[in-house]
Amino acid sequence: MPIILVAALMADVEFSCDALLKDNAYLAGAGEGLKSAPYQASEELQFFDQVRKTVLASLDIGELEEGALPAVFVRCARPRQQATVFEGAEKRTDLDLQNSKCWAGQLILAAPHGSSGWAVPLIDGTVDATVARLIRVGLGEVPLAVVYPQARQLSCHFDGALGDTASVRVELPANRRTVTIPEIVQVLQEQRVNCLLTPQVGPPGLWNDGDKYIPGEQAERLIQWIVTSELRSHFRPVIADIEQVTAVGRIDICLTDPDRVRGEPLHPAVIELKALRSRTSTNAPVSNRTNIAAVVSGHRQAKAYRKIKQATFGVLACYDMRLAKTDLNAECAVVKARRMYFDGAMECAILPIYGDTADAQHELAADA
Amino acid sequence: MKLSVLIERTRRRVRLIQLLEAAERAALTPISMEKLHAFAYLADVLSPVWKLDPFDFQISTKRKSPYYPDLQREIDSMIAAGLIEVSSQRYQRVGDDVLFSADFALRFSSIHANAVLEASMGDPDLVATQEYLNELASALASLADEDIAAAASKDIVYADSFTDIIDFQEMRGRTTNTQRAVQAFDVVFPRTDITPSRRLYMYAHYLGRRAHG
Repeated sequence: MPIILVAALMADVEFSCDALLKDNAYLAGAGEGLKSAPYQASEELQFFDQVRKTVLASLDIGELEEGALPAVFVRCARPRQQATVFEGAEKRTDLDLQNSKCWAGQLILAAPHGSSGWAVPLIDGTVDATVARLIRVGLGEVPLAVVYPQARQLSCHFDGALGDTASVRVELPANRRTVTIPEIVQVLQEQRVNCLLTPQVGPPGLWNDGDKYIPGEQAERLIQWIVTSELRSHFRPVIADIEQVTAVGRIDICLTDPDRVRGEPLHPAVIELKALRSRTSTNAPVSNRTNIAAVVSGHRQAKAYRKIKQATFGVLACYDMRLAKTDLNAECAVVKARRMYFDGAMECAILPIYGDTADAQHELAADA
Repeated sequence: MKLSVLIERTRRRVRLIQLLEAAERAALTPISMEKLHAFAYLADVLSPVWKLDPFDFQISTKRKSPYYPDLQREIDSMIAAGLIEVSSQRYQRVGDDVLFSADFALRFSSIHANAVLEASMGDPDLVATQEYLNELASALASLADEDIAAAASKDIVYADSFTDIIDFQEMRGRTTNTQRAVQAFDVVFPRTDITPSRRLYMYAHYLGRRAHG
């Protein structure tokens, strides 16, 4: 048999994974793909996260023009079709690879991946007139994100322009941070104050009845999404995944560095979240013992997940939604858990959030 | 026309409408001929990632980038039937040949195209296929626009083929080099949740990198 034919038949067999794993294009491409893939969540959350990623990448490219107008991104199942109702709509691709000029002051009828779509200038140059137009043309109920480039904020409207719930606000930080325990805790603190502190700034659904400290049914999930989103923004290009399954349980948030140099840790940190409460979402009382048990198990989980992922740091973040915010860290069981499970690469952050504005004022005033 | 031929043509038309629908959702339309064939090829070669079988039986590797004559024939006949709209017609010279090219998209006003899409929603296999194609189109859309068509020609099976034909049927039940490359992401990112969707993005970006040499 001619050698060339043998070579042809053997081509598949001779493929070497070793060569591939030394190929820079393969390694870099894998990292880029991991960064680009959407966050595993509901369609709305996925869209908002993709818009956040697109806009941040675009803002990282060049200086923002003075007076840059906001932009409205609308999630469209078929962007080209939905664009036909807007005269003069133009196709836009690779928004993440261009500076803010290509989206600022525009209504983007965007694909779910958030980086392409069809654009028209904001109606009358304003968000309000654009939103009114969206409602008129039957796009009032699709997820909508307003980007405020000057304030570096993204306002996410889950129920679209017609929805009567408040929006969820996400920061678009200018600077990247390095993953360390103090930086993680700093991001959690900033995000607590800016996005969760009171029902006024918190996402819709965080509280069923703030005055009575009755949390919403999805409070933990909402906190998890906002925290994850902020971590992804501040520590970019590090990605933050939720609910990663391991042999010892599900990790609330696992950070992965897609650009790591070989030999460096793949997972800079794992974060375990706990929501402490004095009432359930159905107004049943929650005992102090239950909350203590949650904090103790949080210590154990954070350490176990750090070990199984070989992560550099482990953080337990306890969002304290209780009416009476007693010091749980002083509880014997918590002290014991801390001594047993924690070392210099672990930290527990207690993050109070308030159902009543007066209580939040008290914290800030007492701090001053 | 023989029944088997009719069934095969119907199958191909449904596939084409599904490809264009996925491209529509990812804002890739109007999609150039080169990109559409590249998308069809990657949909075949990466189908095991989604636990699906390749749609096509084979493809010639003689051209610089993937090209399915049967797919092109269906595009042409569906343009004539009013299901697909064509724009930006152009000619390009490749060696001594002059090739016709254009951009394609579903015609929204076509009753028949919409009827096919609606009917396909009732078939679990077609629903799974559409979901896969939507995900792959989104993964390709995350590449720079000019890299999408070039990416497919850099696929390991296509680019490194020693034969004139890639036989997808023969590949069934075997692990192809593309699949090996997709599986090797677990070595690059151990202890990481690499979902099938992520594998599509990772492989697409690898091809994007290869396209840049």
